[in-house]
Amino acid sequence: MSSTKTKLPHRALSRQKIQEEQQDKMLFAFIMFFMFNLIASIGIAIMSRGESVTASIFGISNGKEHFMHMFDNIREYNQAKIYSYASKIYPPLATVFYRLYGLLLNNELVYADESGRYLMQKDQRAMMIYIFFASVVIILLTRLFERQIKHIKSRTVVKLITFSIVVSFPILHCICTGNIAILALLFSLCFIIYRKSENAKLRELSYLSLAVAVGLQIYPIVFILLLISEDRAKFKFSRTIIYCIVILLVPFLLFVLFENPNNVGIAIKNSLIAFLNLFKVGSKGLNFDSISITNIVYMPIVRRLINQKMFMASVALFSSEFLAIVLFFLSKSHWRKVFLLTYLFINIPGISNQSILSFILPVFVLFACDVKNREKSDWIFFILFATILSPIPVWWYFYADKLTVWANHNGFPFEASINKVCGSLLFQLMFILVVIVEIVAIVYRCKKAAQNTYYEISYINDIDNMQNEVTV
Amino acid sequence: MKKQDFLAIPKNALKNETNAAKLTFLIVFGLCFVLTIIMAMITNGVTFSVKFFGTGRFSDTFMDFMNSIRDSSQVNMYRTRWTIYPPLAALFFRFIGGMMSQNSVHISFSGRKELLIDPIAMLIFMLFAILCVYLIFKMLDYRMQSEKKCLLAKLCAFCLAFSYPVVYCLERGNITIFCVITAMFFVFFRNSNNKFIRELALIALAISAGLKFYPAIFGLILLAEKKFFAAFRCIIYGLICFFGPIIIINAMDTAILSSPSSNNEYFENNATSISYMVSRLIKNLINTVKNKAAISNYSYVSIQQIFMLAPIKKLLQGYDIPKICSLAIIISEVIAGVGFFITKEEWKRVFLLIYIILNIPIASSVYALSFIIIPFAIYLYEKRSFKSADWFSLLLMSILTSFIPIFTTLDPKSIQLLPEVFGNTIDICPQKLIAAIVFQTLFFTVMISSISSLTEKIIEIRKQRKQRREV
Repeated sequence: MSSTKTKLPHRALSRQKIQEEQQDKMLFAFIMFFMFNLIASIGIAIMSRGESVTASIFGISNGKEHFMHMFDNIREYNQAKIYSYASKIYPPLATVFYRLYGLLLNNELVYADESGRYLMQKDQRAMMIYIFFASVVIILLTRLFERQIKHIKSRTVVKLITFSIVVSFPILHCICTGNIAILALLFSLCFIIYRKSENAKLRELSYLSLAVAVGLQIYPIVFILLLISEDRAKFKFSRTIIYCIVILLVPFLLFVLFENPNNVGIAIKNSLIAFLNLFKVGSKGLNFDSISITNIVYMPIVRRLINQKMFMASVALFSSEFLAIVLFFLSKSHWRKVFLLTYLFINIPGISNQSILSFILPVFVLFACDVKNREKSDWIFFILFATILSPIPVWWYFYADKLTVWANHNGFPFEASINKVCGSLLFQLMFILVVIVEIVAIVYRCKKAAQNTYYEISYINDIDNMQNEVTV
Repeated sequence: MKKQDFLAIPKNALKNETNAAKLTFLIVFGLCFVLTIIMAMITNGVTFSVKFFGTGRFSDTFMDFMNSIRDSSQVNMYRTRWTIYPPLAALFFRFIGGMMSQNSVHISFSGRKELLIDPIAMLIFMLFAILCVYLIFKMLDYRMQSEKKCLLAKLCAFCLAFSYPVVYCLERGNITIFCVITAMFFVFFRNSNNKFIRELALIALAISAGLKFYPAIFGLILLAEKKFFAAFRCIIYGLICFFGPIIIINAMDTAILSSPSSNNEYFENNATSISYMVSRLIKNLINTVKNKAAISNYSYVSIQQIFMLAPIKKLLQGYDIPKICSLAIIISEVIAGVGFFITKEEWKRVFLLIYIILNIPIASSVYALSFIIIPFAIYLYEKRSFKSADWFSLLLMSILTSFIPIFTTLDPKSIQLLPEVFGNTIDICPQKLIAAIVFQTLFFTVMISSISSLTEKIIEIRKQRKQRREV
């Protein structure tokens, strides 16, 4: 078999070069924008003596909530019989994690009431274990992201992009609030990267990783749909489902059977009710922490135009979810498929928050590496990604008092963080753009298919005519 | 070409001695870590906490970091707080203090633990800790995998990044960890093919010395390698790292003191002149050295800790022990210095320099043992034939870096570990109790193996000369 390289035709070469140049410009612009925002944020943090940072992440009036998501969950998940009486979803592997964490702490901290909520912030072991946990997760995330973007030629660009990803606003939000979503992100990323690996062991590990991510937060289960378009899809799909069921059910049943064996049915019922409640549209008004499409109906201009807000929010939610799942099956672009799956769970009102927006990072990395399909219109996506991920300086912090009065006068809370204010709008805008791009791509594919069919039919007709002429 | 299976442990791991060494370390570290976690779970974390600062003083976590911020943010800190931080460290902490509220930064000594619930202080510390661990892992991983990508090397890098001295250093919140990182960068990359990286390595050493003074001793490596011009450049960078920050701090203090609302007491004494600041710093250092000369607990690794052991104390009853300690320190330092110049193995050279640092009482805290990961990493990736002394050194370094489990469920304040050896100390952390013994044993092992290698070489050279003469 000949091993000579086939040269690409000149047109293809120049197109490839143009795409690579576009790619380099986009990455450069992203890095510049990100670094500018980061430095400006640090500058404003110095000017405001750090208050702009705490206001940005925790809100203006919630000063001392650092790492409390983790510590509150340790107290909550260590209560006895949580599956029997609670009406909230407690992912089983998360329960294992928090209980193991609780085993390493004093009982007075773990079983403290509301008044003792902040004791863990001063506790040596609680803080040391959290630092250890955060360090390990960040190291592994960095390794995985680097592995994913190693196709980029410049090592400096790879390092800067990895740095930007790890210091992005969603990741910082996860670390600062102590949200375990970052651990689910890590395992989901393992699955997204290694599910197509040539190494059989790595592929198996990737399916297990997805199962672990599902055990920690349930919603990463949507990524299993990525296996549908692969070779031996049934086999891979069924194996992954089995892993997910084992990792979900075994700890769940162990907890329920050991703590309250008579209430297995009630525990299952409560969990299902809690799952359905996640899709319930709230009536509490605007919540800048949420990224869901339901939040938009409560935004200042929109809410004046809509009377039945809850109904419209529900309609928007279910139609966007339906559209996302349909387009996922029709899409041919890898990064858009992953985005649509990510959209499916980030859009759910009961789950949606700034920490979960960290799941946009694998999408960004896939998009950044998709050089072959680079178009000029991708600049819009790059701008959106850059704005969502960069820690935008809170320049309006110095006018917080006046803005709070104005916001309260107009019936919504003042939010210091520009990332949070813009987050849901930009994320939904990205979804709309992806929908438009996909519809255009589908129309174009249909047209091309129709043309090919026309040419085939006309070609067959021509041959028939020629044959007939010959016969005659 | 066959693709290397990344997840596979090399089939002939035991035949390849370097891989065997890595595997041995991983087994020791892994076993100790698992047992530590199990015992910690049984005792609700008590056996984990006693590994760190003091028994029962659990709430002093991260306070080296927080206290440094408080001290460095004061005007004329070398006078008001008698600090011994070099100017670069002081500037670093002052910069961090600039991002915190005035109330937090100027909080009183009795209220200092409120900084642990200050969100900015803790967020900054958290990011600092994560960054330090990440940088250590990255550098170790890069160095250990310089030839072949291997899971063993990655795991070793990971374990060393989370080794006991590193975790202890983070628990204290001590900036020594940053000195370790910059010193590591210098040691690993001083001979890089890239000119820019080589220069950065020199700057890294200067920064390390700018943060803690004693890492300046790593400059001897440049002298031993006859890179005199590089050593000269490093000295220049070091002077910039010393005088640059002191000028900046001086300017900041002058600006604060000359503002109308400030207290002018120190301004009148010309206390913001650079020479005054330098002289005060030297004075504070001398006082600290004098105070730390007599150490009476097991959190240090200097040779004088050996004289705290009950059997040794009994043996030397009637003698002037402090004088004997001073003599022992001087002699061991001289031996280490000589050993540095006679040994050819890189890991031993680096270890002996670290020994010179850690043998000085003021710098000999157990958490400063985090410097040991530098020679240990070199030891694990250097290809050579292993002698019995090398395996013994591996065991000692593994003990120094691993989390040795504590097998007790009793209240730590109520028990004493081997009082016939360790006296009446209430410290039951095995690492702290034996750190000095293990460290000094490692020193003697290295010295003996260096001398025996030198002797072997001399004998070989003589043999060759004799053969040439006969020919």
